[in-house]
Amino acid sequence: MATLTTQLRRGVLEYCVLALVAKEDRYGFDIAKTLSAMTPMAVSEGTVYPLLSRLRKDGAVETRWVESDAGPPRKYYAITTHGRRALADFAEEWATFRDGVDALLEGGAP
Amino acid sequence: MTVLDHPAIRDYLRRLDAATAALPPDERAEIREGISAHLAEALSPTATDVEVRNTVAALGDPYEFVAQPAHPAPAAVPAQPASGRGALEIAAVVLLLIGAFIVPLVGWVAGVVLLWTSKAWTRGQKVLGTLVVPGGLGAWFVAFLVAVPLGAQSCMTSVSGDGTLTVCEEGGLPWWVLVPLAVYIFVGPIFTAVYLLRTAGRAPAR
Repeated sequence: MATLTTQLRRGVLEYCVLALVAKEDRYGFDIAKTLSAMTPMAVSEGTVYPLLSRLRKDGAVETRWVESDAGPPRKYYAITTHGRRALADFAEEWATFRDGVDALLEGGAP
Repeated sequence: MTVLDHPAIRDYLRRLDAATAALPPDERAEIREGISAHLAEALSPTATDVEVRNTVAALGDPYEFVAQPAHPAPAAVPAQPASGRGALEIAAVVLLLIGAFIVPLVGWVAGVVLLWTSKAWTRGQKVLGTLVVPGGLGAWFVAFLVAVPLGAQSCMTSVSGDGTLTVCEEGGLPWWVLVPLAVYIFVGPIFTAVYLLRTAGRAPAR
């Protein structure tokens, strides 16, 4: 039971993080809390950090520091052009994939 | 005292370091930085024990979330190769070095076979072990028989009517060939033996 969802989740989690950041620049803690609060995601908060590191390495996001009155400066993540393109590609593939699976599950032809 | 000094957090960060040990250093540092910032954000310096443990629990087990998902990331290169410096490796080095004395030629060849069979060295290291020097210390004998006369001066003394005449001919090989060759033949086998022994099992297996 858990394994199937885990496998599905692992393939898309990176893009989910990217989607969050595409809407607005966010800092790590914020992304971690938002993602783990989404029930289907059901990931622990720490999962976000290795993903963010790889996204940055791949050039899909870039970071900047922002002063915070609440305490030390925060590292904000922003999506890049490359990241937008990757996200758009994924969205397309995901739609096709999702429609295909739905059709099969409903037993009819698409 | 910052919240990061809390024992539960120190343990957690230690576990994180262990879980990320195989990652590239920059990723490792970035993840640690992110998690530390997360902890500082979530907890005040006066956080209670319960709050700390809850926050750490919500973060999750580092071994879980560091596990590589979709991306075939440049996966962890194992620090240990398939085998270390075992009996096979020691036998290989010994035979390479002095195998030629035990059974001429065959002894050294046996060393080469063992060298290439072992998983403790990279291909480059094995090539080095084979070429420096073929015959191992046995090469010294070949050197004395062949190379030295080639390099030596040969002097002929002839007696003629005017007195004795000594003519010395330069050897066939110039010094700038002889010296590197000598180093290669005499130092090579020893260098290789020491090098192979020291690097057995250190490099990533191929």
